[in-house]
Amino acid sequence: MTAAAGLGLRASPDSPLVGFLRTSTGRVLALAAMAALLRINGQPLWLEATVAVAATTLWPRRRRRVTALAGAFWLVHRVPGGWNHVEVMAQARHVVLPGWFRVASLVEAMACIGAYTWLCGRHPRAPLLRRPVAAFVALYVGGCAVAAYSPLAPTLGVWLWGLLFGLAPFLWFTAYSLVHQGDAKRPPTLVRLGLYSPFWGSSYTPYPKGDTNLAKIEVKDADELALWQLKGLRLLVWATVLAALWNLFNGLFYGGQGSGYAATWLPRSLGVPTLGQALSALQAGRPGTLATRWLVLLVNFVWSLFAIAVPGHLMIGVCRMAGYKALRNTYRPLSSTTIADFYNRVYFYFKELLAEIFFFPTYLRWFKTRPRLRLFVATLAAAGFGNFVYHYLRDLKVVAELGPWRAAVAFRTYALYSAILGVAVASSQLMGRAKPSRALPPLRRLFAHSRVVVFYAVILIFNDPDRSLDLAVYLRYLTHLVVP
Amino acid sequence: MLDGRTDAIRAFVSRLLVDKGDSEPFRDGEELVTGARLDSLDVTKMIAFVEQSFGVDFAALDFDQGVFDSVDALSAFVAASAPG
Repeated sequence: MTAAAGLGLRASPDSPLVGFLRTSTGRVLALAAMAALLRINGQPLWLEATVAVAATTLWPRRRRRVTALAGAFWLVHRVPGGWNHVEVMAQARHVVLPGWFRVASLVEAMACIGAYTWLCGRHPRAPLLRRPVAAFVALYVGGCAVAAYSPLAPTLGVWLWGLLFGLAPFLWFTAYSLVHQGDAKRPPTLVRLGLYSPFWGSSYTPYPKGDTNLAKIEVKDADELALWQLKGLRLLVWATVLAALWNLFNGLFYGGQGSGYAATWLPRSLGVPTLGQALSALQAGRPGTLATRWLVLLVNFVWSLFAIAVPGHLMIGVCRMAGYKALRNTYRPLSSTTIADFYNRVYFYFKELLAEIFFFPTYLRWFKTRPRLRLFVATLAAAGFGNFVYHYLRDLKVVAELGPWRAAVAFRTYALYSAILGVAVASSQLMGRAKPSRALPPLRRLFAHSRVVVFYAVILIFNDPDRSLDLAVYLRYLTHLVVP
Repeated sequence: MLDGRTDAIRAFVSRLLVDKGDSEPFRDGEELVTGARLDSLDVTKMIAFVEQSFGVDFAALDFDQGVFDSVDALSAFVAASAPG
């Protein structure tokens, strides 16, 4: 089976279920099933998402415009977490914010993005706009520096942070728009802005790959729509199964203390500490046993897989229901036999973002006569440098609290994580494409899978979202994996 | 000349797919990257192939990964960008 077949792209359109989904009754039942699955999974805007999918099904010729309109609705209802921080900041500076502050910040952010993308389209050869994504990110970091370090009046400072927090969720959507500025299929600016907040949800990583890509993956007719709605429903069912397993896993290992789902009905739990608890215990001089330290890492690794897979499947499931042929975000990561293959399978849309924004620009400009070095450096630029930049800008709250420079210092553990990951993925790429795991003899297959799992489980030590712990604590945990 | 270029690109894409264990036929207009038959790593191989075979300097052009999506798109891009 090829990767495409595995991703479900070439499933048969002759299936009786697809035939049923072409009928009015089938469509209504599919929508009802989607609504029920979203509700079961605790999606707060399940009804609105169902209405939006119904609208895209009713008006297929206006699918992207309907998607953009629903996105605009989402934009107003989605409250980026950072805004709470701006409000706390305003209180501390005795600045009174009007009730319409969030909407105003959002409008400012959208106006800035619209003006910048328009300018880049109008003057692509202007000296500062020749590298539009780099210039945009530099402007953004510059804005953070001005807000943090310049002696602005308190009100102005708070409003500037409001704008920066308003821009944060859309940075990488804008980057995709800028990369595809010359593409004939790019949507008009207003539609584009509506697509920055897709109603199927997104993190700061665009699912699936920005506005222009949506035009390319849109279904072409009612037959394709039925096929992809079936794929969407299947993915939503799979997400629900995984969510139930995640719930059970959480209850069994963490006793419901970890974030996410919690099975409180289990009579007993193994009481495995979370990685954060294990690190704090180590810092307090209670390193635990060698076996516990390894167990903490392996349980944390599996938990992380659930945490990526479940929301990703829910988003892509709804996206497919809306008539877009989107690939899965996570596809059989545990079948990977190499580090690079796992990286490709576990969080596809993040990997694609890094490839488009960091990998290709590096690959096209540097070391063209030395193919292996060229591939290594470009991969390092994406999986290492790009990964760091993404997370640094994502955690804007830390930047706002500490200022850009001290925040960069606080990110040193994540910098180490990015560097190790970048070198490992780049080296793995150089060793060649992964063989399908079934092509390996059983023992070699087991060794290859284990090597990948152990590598990612161990480096996750450095992927701790708590930026306050010292790097030495993480390094001590690492050394304590081999020292009893 | 047009056929020669398109033939060379088609043959290269075919080799890429076969190397991945994908021996199913493809059309010149088929979107192979969007359709997940080719990935980013394959695109890097296509870049190196186009640079070496047709002398295209991507650093001097506006790069869009979309031109590698199909044989037709890549052939048109090379026709518009190759020196001479």
